[in-house]
Amino acid sequence: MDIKVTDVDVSVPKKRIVEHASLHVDEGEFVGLIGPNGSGKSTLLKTIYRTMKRESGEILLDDVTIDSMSLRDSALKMSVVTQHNYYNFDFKVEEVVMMGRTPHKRSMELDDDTDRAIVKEALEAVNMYGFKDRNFSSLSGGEQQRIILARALAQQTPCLVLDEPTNHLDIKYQLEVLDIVKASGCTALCALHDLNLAAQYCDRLYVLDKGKIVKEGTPEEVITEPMIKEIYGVDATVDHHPSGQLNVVYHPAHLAKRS
Amino acid sequence: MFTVLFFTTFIGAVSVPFDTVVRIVLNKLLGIGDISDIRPATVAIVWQLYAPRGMLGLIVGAGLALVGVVMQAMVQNPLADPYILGISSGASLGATFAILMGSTVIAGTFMSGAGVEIFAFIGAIVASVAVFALSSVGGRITSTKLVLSGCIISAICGAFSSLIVYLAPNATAMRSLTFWSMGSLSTSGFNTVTLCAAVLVVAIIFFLTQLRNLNAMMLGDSTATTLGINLATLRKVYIVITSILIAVLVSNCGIIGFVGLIIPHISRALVGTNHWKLMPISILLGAIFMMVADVFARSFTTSEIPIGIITSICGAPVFAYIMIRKSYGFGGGDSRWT
Repeated sequence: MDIKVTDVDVSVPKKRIVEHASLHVDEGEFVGLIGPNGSGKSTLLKTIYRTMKRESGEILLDDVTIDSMSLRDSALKMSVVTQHNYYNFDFKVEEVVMMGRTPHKRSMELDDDTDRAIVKEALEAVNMYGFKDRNFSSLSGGEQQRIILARALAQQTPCLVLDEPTNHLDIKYQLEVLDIVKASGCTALCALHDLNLAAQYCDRLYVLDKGKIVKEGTPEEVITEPMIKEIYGVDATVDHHPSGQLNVVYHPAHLAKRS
Repeated sequence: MFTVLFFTTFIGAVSVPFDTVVRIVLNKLLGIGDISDIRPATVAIVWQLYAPRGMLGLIVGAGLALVGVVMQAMVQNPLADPYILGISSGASLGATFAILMGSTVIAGTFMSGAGVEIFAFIGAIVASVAVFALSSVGGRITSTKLVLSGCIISAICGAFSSLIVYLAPNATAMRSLTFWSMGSLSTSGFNTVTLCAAVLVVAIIFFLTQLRNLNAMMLGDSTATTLGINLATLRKVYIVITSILIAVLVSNCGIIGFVGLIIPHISRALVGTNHWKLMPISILLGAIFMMVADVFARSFTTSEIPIGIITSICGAPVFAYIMIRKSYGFGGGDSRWT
């Protein structure tokens, strides 16, 4: 399935956070959203996954406007992984993942063997099946993040929206989480901080700065030395690693002085 | 649960032999056996005093526990109880009004006893409507706005109750007000029981269809939304149903504290947070706890102790024990603490 966002404006009282944002994610594509803190990445994603209201503009899932869909309809099309997951009550890991089945079930319907098989598969995909009976709150931040990804997988949607899914993860799991998303074949829209990861995983990138999409294209086109200087205010060298991968090296102030 | 109900029926200020109780109950319920040899006074005590009381205890306990579970899920806060939305203070205001002003203003209209219940009910409903309206201002109802609105309305109702008490000093009425606010299962005839039971049954049936939604609600507004739960609509429906149930219970039994707070936590410690197990266990435990508490309330002394006192005295240590026990962390998210 695909996502089309056209001319979306989002404001909180007295402040416009996202301005005339347009983007599209085609079937099976992995699209990254990059930009500095406070540039409006999370807000734009929230508007797409419907926890924030837009002022104007249009958001289409498979060419149908989200306004005409029930929340359940959109939950069947799109699952969401966010960076902040803190619960006031203690659920078992398995129960948290089972919640991913919510939009598929009628309210009185019990979880059946199919659901349990899907949950098991999702937990195995993130390498956390052994933790299924643990309390969610007793896990480390990275483990919790993987459980949230498992819940999104158990939701079995054609599209995944991810907001900084690699936060709190060590490098092994950063790669693993993005690999899982990539392997799922889902249409994916993902906000990322790490430009090297963005370059390695994304088919296309959008750069968001002060609420506006200022640049789009393939990682090669987008991740350039002038862009990093302009958007992030950081000196960097962008070159290619012998393996052919794009490679961003930053030049922090204390090292720049020395050279 | 029914065993406890049975058991409570024959404990009271007037002791009645066990077999007599059994015969009376069987006769009244199923028409079995002959009770013409038992003194009518004994039959009256068992059937009109103890039996409705035991059943009211069951209903109130179950109702408070049910609403406690729903409230804690709805506002995602382990400290929520059935009265968090200001219902109790609204009912108190109504009761205060009826008891203190009632003797002069409305004595002609209502018998004093019925007046208190009606005014408490009106107060409870008005308070929940006010909370509802206040938390809807400026768009969607969020859990934070609900809790804060509850605080605000409670404060206002509390202030007016105090004002009435201050303006109308009346020692006898003050005492009956104090007693009302501590809660009691007394003065309950079968009419009261039937009304409460009917409302409770409707509420239980409704919320048994909502277990999956309650689970998802626990994960927070944003996650619930991405799982396809329409929180805005559900919250409204839940508030209406719980408000009516609690208003009915409070207006008939006063404010019985702690049950709606601790029973959900005790149940969670036993079976976990999943509402498929939590809800039935809470309802069951709430009913049992309340009936047992009532037995204590009326058997310690010749007069009876307000049941609110009993529930707090018994409940608090149990709650403390659960909190100290390491395996139950209230989900605080802080793994070092659990």
